[in-house]
Amino acid sequence: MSSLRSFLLKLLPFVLLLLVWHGLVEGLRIPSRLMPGPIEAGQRIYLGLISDGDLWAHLWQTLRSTLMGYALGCVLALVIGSVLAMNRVLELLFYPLILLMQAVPKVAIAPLVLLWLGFDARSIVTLVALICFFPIFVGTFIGVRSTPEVLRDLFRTLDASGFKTFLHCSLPHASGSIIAGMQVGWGFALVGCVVMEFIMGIGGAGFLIDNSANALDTVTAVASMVLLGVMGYLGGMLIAAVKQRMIFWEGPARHG
Amino acid sequence: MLLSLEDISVAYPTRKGPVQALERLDLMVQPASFASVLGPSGCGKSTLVKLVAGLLKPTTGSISFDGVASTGARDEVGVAFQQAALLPWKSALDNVLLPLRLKGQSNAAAREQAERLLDLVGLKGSRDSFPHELSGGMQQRVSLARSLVRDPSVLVMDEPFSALDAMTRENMMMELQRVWLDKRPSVLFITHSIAEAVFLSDRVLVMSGRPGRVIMDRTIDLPRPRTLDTLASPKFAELSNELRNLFRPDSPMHASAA
Amino acid sequence: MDDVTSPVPRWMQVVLPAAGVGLILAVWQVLAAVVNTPGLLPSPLQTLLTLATWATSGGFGPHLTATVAGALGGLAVGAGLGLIAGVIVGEVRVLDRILYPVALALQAMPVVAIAPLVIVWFGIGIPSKLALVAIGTFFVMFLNTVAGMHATPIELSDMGRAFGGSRWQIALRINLPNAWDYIFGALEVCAALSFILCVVGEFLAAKAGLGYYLRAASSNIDAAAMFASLIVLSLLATTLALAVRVAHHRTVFWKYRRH
Repeated sequence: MSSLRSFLLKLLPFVLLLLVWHGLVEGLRIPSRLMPGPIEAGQRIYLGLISDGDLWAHLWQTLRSTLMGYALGCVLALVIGSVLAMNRVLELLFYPLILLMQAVPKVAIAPLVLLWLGFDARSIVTLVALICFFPIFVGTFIGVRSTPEVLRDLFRTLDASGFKTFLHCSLPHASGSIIAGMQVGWGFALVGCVVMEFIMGIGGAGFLIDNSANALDTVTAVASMVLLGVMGYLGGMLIAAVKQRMIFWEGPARHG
Repeated sequence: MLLSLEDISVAYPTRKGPVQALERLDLMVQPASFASVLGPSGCGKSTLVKLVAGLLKPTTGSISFDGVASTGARDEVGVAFQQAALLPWKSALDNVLLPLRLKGQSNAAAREQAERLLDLVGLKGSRDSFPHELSGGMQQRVSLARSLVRDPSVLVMDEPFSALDAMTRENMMMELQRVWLDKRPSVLFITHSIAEAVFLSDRVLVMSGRPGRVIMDRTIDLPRPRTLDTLASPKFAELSNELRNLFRPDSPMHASAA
Repeated sequence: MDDVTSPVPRWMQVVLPAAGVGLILAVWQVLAAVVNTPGLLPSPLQTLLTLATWATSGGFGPHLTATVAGALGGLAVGAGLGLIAGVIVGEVRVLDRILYPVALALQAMPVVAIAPLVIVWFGIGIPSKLALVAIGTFFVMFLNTVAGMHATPIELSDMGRAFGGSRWQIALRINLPNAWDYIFGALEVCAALSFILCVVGEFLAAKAGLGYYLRAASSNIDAAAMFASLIVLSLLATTLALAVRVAHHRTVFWKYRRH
């Protein structure tokens, strides 16, 4: 019974949102061409996903590009973050590069990526990877770096190689921090994908929103935004669920 | 196995210049004997542990096992740290198995060995528990079992009971004796507690303040196995007092260079 | 692997990063020479020259102003309103129960996605940029302010009541100062967000601004101009972030004191 209850509790904010949205649109008499209400948006979603299905292709494209870029960004961030965390010389050497990456607002690179890689999926995947790299990198770096010295000493007394120590000690220790970084990275990844689709104007949820807004088809635009939000939410929930299952040992402190 | 440290000096580089942690220290632990090390804070006891555990190389001097010089980690040495240092994402059994797994030996025989050791330290029912589900004393027992899993001929322990409350400490002291009598490795046991040192050891070595060297080597000739009665015996009190006097503020031990 | 018992010597902590910078420049130079098309990849020197030309000829003046105005203006409006709304909602239970979860639910959607809609509402140019930045920063500031107001340790608010403070006095004199840490943390996020949203707004519908300029330069295959804009943009964003960080540590000085 309690899992049903917690599920309903999770739904509550969204129900409230729909109610407030509906109330505002009706109460302030906002014309539908400026901002449609949830009922209209819902109808458009139904049309776009179920009866007609014209929105699927775009959503799928966004999902695919985002996932690919996200996976790439994760792998790069994990590898580079781990290497730099374990080797101080390399860390100091690459420090300026990391600072540089942090300073540049990554969305601003989108036109440059477009210039270099052209009007196809590669550009989207690249920008997404670049934009979600940083939070995952930081999570990995901090997680691996913060491995308690006594654990590393333990592995040295057991004559474990550096790689074995990384695999069996530092990496599991860092997993909480890494997943937290991945949660932030997922949000960033969607942003990157949408922005790239804005300026590429070929397909995907970003294109859908921009295109329909330009045509003053605000209903489609809002419907797409809702679906995008659902995508973001589900992805975030998935990662949170993984985190719950994996990091079972970090709960409130027990006897010690 | 005979553990012997000859003419050991260890200096640490610090911002203000090198600090001499140990100076010309000589120490020997006979096979199958239990030696405790007592000393004031900062005298280099932890440095000693790191040397024997292979985490540190001496600046001068040598460490040898059965006459063979060595530096670096060795399979024959079991280590128990001050903190239990268990991997929080692994069960008690998996933690005990860790040294064997890292060497690629995680077959059924290894599991049996680990289970036996957990039984030995009195944790039969906690094999699948995780460290956060265990009390401090239980965690230290897992750490002890782990240090024994490779059947070491030398066991070095760095104040393993210092983080526990007094009652648990006394229990663990008894446990350790029982476990030691089973296999009889050569033990180098660092402690702050005079009672522990006298109860557990064949010899108590007292170290001076920094730079550390051995200033007393007292044989403890109490009969084994030692019990709670031993704790109450006059001989025990006599030995404890002798050692306690060394730690008084006006004793010669504190006259070393800081 | 890394041996923590012998930390990296002091001199290395200076030399290595410097070497890192040199390495970046060297690799850049080599790549530029290999590609040999300044339109696609200018060399470090060409980039520097472009920047210098910009600085002296004042060509990017209007673009710079447009971006700064959009970002800072929107930030002021959005964060300001978010702060006020946050204080009020944090204090009024009914509003808190309704509006806070609603705002949380809205967070799932990347705020850049509303950009085209905002442009429909406010038209091309500065108004829509300001609105976009304001909306985005409003939400971040609002949510964090409410959280901060709720985080007052109970001893402090009890003390306030014991001294006979009215509800709003307590809110403003106890809850709010305690929430500064949250608020400034949110402000740091908003600082970065303001430039991001402003640039995206300029990508979509503007006639001036660094984002607009970047997109135009991309069509003109003028990478040197793009590099120069990116450098300027990064400097702006970093300066703002640092300024907020300093203000943060000054205001919440009790948390960040160096020992």
